[in-house]
Amino acid sequence: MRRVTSSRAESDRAAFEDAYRETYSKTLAYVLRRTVDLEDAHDVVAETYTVAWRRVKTFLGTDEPQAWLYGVARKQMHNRWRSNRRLLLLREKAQGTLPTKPAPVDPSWSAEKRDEYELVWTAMSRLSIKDQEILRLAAFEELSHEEIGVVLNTPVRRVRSMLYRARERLNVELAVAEQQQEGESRHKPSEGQRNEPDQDTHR
Amino acid sequence: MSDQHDGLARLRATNPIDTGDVDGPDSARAQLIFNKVTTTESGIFSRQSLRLAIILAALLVLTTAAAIVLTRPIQIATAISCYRSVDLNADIAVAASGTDATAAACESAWSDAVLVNEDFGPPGFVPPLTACVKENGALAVFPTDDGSTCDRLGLARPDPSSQGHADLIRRVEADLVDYFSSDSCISMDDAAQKVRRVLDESGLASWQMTTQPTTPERRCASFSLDETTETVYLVPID
Repeated sequence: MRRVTSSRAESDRAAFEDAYRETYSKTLAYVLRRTVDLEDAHDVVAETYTVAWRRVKTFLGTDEPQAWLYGVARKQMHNRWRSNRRLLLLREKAQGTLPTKPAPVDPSWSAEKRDEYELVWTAMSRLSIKDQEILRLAAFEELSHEEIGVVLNTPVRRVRSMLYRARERLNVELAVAEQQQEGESRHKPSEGQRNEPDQDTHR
Repeated sequence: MSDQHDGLARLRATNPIDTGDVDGPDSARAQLIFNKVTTTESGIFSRQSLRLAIILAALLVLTTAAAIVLTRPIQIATAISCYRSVDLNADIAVAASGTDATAAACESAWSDAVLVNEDFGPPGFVPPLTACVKENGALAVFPTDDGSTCDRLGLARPDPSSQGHADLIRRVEADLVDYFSSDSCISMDDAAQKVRRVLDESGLASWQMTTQPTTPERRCASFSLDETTETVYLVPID
């Protein structure tokens, strides 16, 4: 009997290792997109796979193991957020807003891409957390409606309407952010323009 | 909608982390995590789940304990105290026999103006009444309809499961009061027979009965009922 149990444990471990290898990078990327600190991200990944290992039958039996892991990681991050809420609220007071924009930006990005990044995340920061998350899942993790449903534990039909509305709201906020950006650039004179009125006054 | 104007496409283009740029499963960190994870036991409750289960179990125990504290069986149905106000130090009247072991037992004390409190109304006015159970299992009835009265006074609410038995004791007591209230002198032997019969017919056959011998000065019988020891005492009176 012990030998059977041991053999089963070994086969679980082997299957788990395969799944781990297949999902690790995507899971880490998912967490990194939502976590400011690299160490925190690795901790969340470790906690996520600890849950998966403890529930190895469920994990290996699911049709969407990657989406299932995203769902677990999301809960782990939420737990961390709850326990650090006090800290975050203090940070919110200090900075005026919660950090909704992912911190890492590729240093090789062009100035134009950086501007676009700022614009998009200005618009994103005006959306609800729910809207932001479903848009991130669709845009960054490139999940299907079914997979998003697994992550958010939400029926597919509802996912469709949630995503549609979130997308609409993002488009609206982007248009607003663009208008504001245009307005700001119109009111921001260049160095040369700034000197001209002075010259006129002296005439 | 072109990609240039679609927010989702623009968001996708700002992806801050490309999956290809992060550590793979062969990285030292990934291996460390894998080894750490798989050295724990699989298929068991996580520490958090276990903690949650313990908390739930503790809550269940506390809830049960709270239920025991908040409700208490009526153990002394024959001594119902009717309070003049919502205060354990207020004047009291003892409820007359012949009613069930409920707050209504005190209605006659108010309607007969044995208890009067002009804060509630004129003499004869029956205020809303609330029954609580004291530590000794006796009912205490207060002139209020505030459901939190028992808790506020540190008393318990009557355990509904004890109501039937308490009402039965009240009926037995009422029967015996009627019998012993007659003008004639009841002998100890007659009293013993009557009490035994009433107890047996009421389903209280297990109750004990003790008698004290009569004397030439005290040759008539009276009774006392002790619910805690389930005993009816027959005592000689003059």
